[in-house]
Amino acid sequence: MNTVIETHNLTRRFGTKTAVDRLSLTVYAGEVFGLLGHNGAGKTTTVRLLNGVLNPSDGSALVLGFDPVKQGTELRKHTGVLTETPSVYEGLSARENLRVFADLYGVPRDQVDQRVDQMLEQFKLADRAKEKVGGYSKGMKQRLALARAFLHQPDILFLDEPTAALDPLASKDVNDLIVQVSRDEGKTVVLATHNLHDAQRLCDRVAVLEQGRVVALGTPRELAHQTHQSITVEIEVAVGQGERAKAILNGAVSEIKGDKLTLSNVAYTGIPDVVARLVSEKIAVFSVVPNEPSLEDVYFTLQKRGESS
Amino acid sequence: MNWRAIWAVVRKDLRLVSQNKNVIASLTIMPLLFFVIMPGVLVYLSTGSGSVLGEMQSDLGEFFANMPPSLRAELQTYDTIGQQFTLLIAAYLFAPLFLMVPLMVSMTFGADSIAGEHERKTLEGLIYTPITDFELYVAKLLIAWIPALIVTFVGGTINAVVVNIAAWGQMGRVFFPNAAWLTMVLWLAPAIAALGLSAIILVSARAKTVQEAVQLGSLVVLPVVLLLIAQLAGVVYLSIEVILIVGVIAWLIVLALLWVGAKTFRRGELIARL
Repeated sequence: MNTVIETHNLTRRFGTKTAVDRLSLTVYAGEVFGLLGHNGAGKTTTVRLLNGVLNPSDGSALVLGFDPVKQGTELRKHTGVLTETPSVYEGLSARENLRVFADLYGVPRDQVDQRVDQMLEQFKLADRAKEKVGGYSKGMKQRLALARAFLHQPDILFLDEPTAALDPLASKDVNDLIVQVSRDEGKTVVLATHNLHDAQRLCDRVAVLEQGRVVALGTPRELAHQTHQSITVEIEVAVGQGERAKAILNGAVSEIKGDKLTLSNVAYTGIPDVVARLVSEKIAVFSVVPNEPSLEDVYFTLQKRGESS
Repeated sequence: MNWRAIWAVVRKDLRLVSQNKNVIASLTIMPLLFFVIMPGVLVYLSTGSGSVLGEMQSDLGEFFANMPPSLRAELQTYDTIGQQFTLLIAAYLFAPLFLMVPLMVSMTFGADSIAGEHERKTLEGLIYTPITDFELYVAKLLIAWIPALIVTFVGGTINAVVVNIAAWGQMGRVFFPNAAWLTMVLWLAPAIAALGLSAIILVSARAKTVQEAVQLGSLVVLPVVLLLIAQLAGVVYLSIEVILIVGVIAWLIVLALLWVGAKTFRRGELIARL
């Protein structure tokens, strides 16, 4: 896998406050990488550092082979950023907004009209492209900001709280667009969010930040296994075999409803043994559903650990 | 230097500012007052003051004698004391007032350029683009300087027409603008506009609202107000020599402010204030 972002002990201090603290991570081409954390955890500062709009106090980063400190201007030609507030010009139309940014990003002059039309169409703004953006809904403004971030066909998209302050329908709309641009276009997406449901749905890997530090890094499943040693498993066996299965598992079953057994505190790696024991005793196992902890469970577990330490 | 990006920012800002009714009102009312109404009315009134001035001839002679030699020489080319008085009103009384207009225009646009983006929460989108810090700085300077120059040159032309019409009964010919006035419009007014905007951009980059920027930057108006008071009190006359010297001083200050501005205008600093 090609590395597109690599940071080594990246640190940014504002006076006595350390916003990003020795951040070391790698992001690979084509993945949706989540930066999770509550407000003030260092997500936005990280996005700024990775785009060369803020200089680090310490450490280094390499984004698409560019050093953000020395080659920020060149780097920003290849990145697109959706900021937390849409940052759109409300006195201009959507088309005018996109044309301004086409010039700023250096979209070839002979392609500007075509690219702008394409973005307006793709982000469902074509019908109201000539209206001033001040009259748009929040969701439409966010779609316009997303179109702007994607206008120059960047290699990496940084999305900072893309669904913050949006209603569920508008959030779904924006999330669908993120899925569309990442899967269909194969772009790398760095998603900075505190919305754990969005992260669960969209991210291939996540880094959980707390006070500027990475406290966990991996796929949502890896993090679930790291934070939750034992899980709940639901097993469905053949009709009439429920009680016998319970006896075989010798007290591991916490609940039984007909042919469905619920096992608590099962190690994730112990599930195959459980199934093997049932099968060896001629129990027909129809389904095994491990109830994996969600990213939300992982996040709150990490939070509790942080507080207790 | 990426001029395409610079002009994109300039066009965008001018478009947005042109939608601001308060800005348009101040851009219309102030030049109308200082370039048309006040000089037109006063110059016209001065043309009817011949008999009164005749009675005061000895006092005025003493008044003229205290003026700089170049101004005295210019006054002597006019036949009557009424014409001399009209020239004084038209070309010298309003000179510092004329300077207020480009200064205020450049400051109005300059205050809005960065602090306005802060206020409207649009700065962050701009800062993530490939435009360099210096290009953004140049764009923000041009946004303020271009309207100031347009208002100065257009307003100066209208002012000349109005003054000549108002004084036609007295002068009977086109007498205005004179050399001092032209020097002021072409040399000092652009310098004063640049002085105002280079100061206000420095302030605007550090302010969070337009109001804060205007409050901090309005100190720049003081030297021009002092110039106005000094001229009305008869301490200083904006003769060609004085205009050239004040212009050189203003341009030197502008260069110093621009140098400091270019060195300190950093997107990291701007974004840290968001």
